[in-house]
Parts: sequence; C-alpha cells; structure tokens
Amino acid sequence: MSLISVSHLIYKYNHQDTQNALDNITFNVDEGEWLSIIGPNGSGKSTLVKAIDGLIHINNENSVLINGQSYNKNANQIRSQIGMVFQNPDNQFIASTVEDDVAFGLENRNIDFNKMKTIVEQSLKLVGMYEYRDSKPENLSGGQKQRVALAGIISLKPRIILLDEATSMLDPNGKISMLNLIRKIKQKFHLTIISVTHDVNEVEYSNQTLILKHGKIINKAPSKRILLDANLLWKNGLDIPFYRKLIYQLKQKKIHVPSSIVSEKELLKWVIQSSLMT
Amino acid sequence: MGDSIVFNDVNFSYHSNDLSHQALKDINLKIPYHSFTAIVGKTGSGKSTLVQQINGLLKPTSGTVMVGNSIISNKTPDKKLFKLRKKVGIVFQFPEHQLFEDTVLKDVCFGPKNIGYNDNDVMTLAEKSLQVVDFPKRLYDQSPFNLSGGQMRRVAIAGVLAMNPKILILDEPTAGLDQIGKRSIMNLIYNLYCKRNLTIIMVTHQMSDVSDYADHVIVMNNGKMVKMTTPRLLFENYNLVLHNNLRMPEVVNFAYHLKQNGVSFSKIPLNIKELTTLIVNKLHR
Repeated sequence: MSLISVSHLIYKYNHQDTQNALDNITFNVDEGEWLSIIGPNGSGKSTLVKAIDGLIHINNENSVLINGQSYNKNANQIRSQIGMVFQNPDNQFIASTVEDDVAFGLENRNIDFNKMKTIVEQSLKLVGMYEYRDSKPENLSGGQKQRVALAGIISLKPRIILLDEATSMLDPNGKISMLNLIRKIKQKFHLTIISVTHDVNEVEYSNQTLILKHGKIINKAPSKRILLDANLLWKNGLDIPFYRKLIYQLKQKKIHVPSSIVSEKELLKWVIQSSLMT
Repeated sequence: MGDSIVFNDVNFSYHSNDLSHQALKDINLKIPYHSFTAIVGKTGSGKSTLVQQINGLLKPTSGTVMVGNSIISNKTPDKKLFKLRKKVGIVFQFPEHQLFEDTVLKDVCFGPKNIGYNDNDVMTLAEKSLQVVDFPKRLYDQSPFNLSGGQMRRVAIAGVLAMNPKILILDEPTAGLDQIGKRSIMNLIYNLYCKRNLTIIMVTHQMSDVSDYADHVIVMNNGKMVKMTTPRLLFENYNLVLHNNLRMPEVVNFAYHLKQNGVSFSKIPLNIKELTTLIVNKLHR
C-alpha cells in the first residue's frame, strides 16, 4: 500500500464554478519518495497540497487516503503524521522566541516538560538554529525563519512533509542551503516529501515529478526524465537550463550544435574547440 | 535638482537611539528621473530600507533625501509626506499579501480613494490600471483571494499604478512566480518604463534582470552603497560581483569561461543575443 493515495480527486472552490480546480486526479506516493508538483500559476498545485494536508473539504472521502486512512474518519491521526512548510515564513510564527515557537506544537500534545526541552534542543540543532533559540522570530532572515519552521515540524516526528513553495521567497544561496537541509532530514528520518515548486533546482532534488495543468495531471515521470525535456519545462512555467536556450539561439543562426551535447560544460567545450580551430 | 532623486549623507537606524546597528550608513547617490535603476546586494544589505526612504515610509535618522523638489529629513512632518506618496508608488515584496478587499476592483480603488481622488476619477484610474496590467475584465468582481499567484501580483501592481505615480519602486517584483509569470511581469514593468516614461527603481536578486533591463545598478553591502554603475561595468568587474555575494548572469558567466580558455573578446556580452552574436562571429571567422 502506498503511503499517500489520491484517486479520482475532484474539487471546486464554488458550486457555481464551471471548471474544476482539481479534475479527476489520481496518483500514489510511496514511503521515502520525494515528489515535485509543478505547473503554471493557477494550475491547481496549491489546492492539491491543501487536499493532502486536509485543509479543504473533499466530498468523496476515499479520494485522499494517508496510510489507508481518510480525513473524514481519522483526521487527528493523519494530521499528527504530516507537517507543512508554507511559502511565507512570516505567516507561520506564533510565539515570541524561536525556542517557544518550536515548543508550541509539542505543548499542544501534552508532552512532559523535560522531554519537550530535549526535543526542542535536538530539532533546533538539527536545522542549525540552536544558537538563535532566544531570538525573536521577526529578527531572523527569511532562510532562518524557514529553518525554524522546519524545526517545529520535525519536533513532532512526522512521516510526511509538504512544502508549498517553501523556498520561493529565499535568495539563490538560501534556496540551495534549505534544500540541502531538507534532503539531510529526509534521509535521517526516512521521510516522504511532496513539494510544490517552479524552481528547476528543487525538481532536481526529487525522484518523481508530476505536472498539473488546469487541474489535471498531464504528466508524471521520474524527475531526471522531466528535466531533460526542455520544451516540457518551458511550457509549464519552469526555467529551462541556460545552455539549452543558447543552443536554440545558435541553431536560429544556422550554427549546427551536435545533439550529443547535454550540459553547459559540454557546450562550453564545444564552442571553445570550434572557435579555436577556425 | 528638480529632476532626480538625491540622497545626501543618509544614515538610518530602526532604533533611532542605537547607531551601532545602522541599516543605512552614509548613503550619497543620485538617481535621474526616467531611468531604470536596479538595486542589488545580499539579503539584509539594506536594499529594502533604502527604497523605503524614497517615499518617506522611513525617514532618515540623519541626512536628507530629495525627490524632485520635495525634501525628506528626520524633521519632515508626516503631513508633508502625503504629497510625496502620490508621486512615489511602492510595490512591496509579495504585494498580494496586502490585498484585503472582497473584490479585485475595490482593492485597486483603495489607493486612489485614500489619497483623495473623487469617485469618478477613482473608477477611471482603477479600470485603466487593470487594463495596463492586462487583467481580464470578467474577473473584476472576483475575490482577489481566488486568483492565481501571478494574477494577484498584477492586481497588487495595478493598485499602486492607480495612484498615478511618477516614480515606481518595486521590491523583488517577480519573487515566487514561475517563469511565465516572471517574464510577463518583467515585460509589464519594462513597458511602463518605455511607454509611460516612469522612473523605475527595482530591488532584485535576479542578475539576468539587471543585465536585461536596467541602465543603472546600485550595489549594497552591509548598509553601505558599495558602487553605483552600469550593468556592463558591474559585470565586467569580477571581483566587485564576488565580494558582494552576487552572482554573474549565466550569459556573463559563460563568456568568462570562454575568455579564460583563450576565446577573446573586447566587450562582455550582457544578454543571450549578444553572446550568440559573439559565438557566431568566432565560428565564422
């Protein structure tokens, strides 16, 4: 049995809407997988993640099953297994210090004080934010805030983490270090990850990629294969690798670039050799 | 003097009694009207603080900011800043988080209403702005919260344009959008710059937007202005880029690798067209 199973999921925001926000979506995610969900703005990515997180009401309860259970019957049990990191870190803070914020979720679960202290400490150390435990969340940078949000989630020992454009507000270096951290945590706890993104770099971290358009799945394949298809990425709002754009421009100028070239390094080497030969 | 934005010895601290943590230090600069200026620097370098001085949202702790004939200093009363806010519009980071009305049209009307336009003008300005940002008319009565990220961003920009600013400040206008959204928002901004003759000041992490669109670039580091220059001169200066934690645009990076490997050129290419021409010339020589 798959850990996450979505079958024939249909969702509308309003009854009057002629178009379904999610239109007959079916897919599975196995334990330990990292699935990217990509697609143009407005394709239904965030709605789909909300459905998996139980944040929107689904009419057919069996269309979203987590570990075989439905939200209608076992909402609390499911929620304890899922953590979600949102796009805007400012919207996720409740307490006035980093430490209290991480402790917030645990307090709600009636965990013994000393045990709670240990868990908070471990979680903050894991994300590299322990030295900021007494800081006010509002004084942290965007990347630091996302790390604290992640610590709060890890402290609750989830099996699944959902990332809704969690790195899109970070600068390029911040993105990479956040993604490396998520990969590390995923391996350490054998987590399952679903990330909504339109960042090519983030897709590279995942094993599987699902493409949504107008609320429908138009493709699901290993991420490696999706990343090779520049045209597919471009059409779906993702940036295509720079060297592909350059090859396209050169071909327009009747320069024949060998089709065996599949990286920027190889293109660079080819240009250097060809221009020094002439 | 009347046709530029001038910073004179501007210092700023969020806690005015504590000058040890200054967000801006000794800023002196001049941005001509009708130019496109990019502001770059790593997170926390003072970029957003800098632009908020231009419409008086933040007042300098010491020094003065002049926008045309208006002067902003520590002593400027807030009442006087009101006029300035008509002239200078700011689109903040993730402006869609500030949408709040129950329809798109009402949200865009809020700004011009607030600065005192009469009801007829408000409606004309709002509808015109929504047209400028290419927002479909059939969605005017939708709740802004049912829109996609890219559409929400357009509504937020329309809300600022509806106040008819002469100077448009944008703080990371394409952050969080997909490539299609990014391209269309940048085209929109560039059109406003070319056709409406606005002064554009844009905070960005996207170095390719700097090389593709800007005519001036300001480099910030740790609250100080390190350099004000042109994109070409910035990207020709490898050390300046690296020391300020910036990245080279991919085009420039590729060109540098060519140069290091013996493919020489006199002028660094700034965009993919220039790079293509350079390579074509080398191969056809």
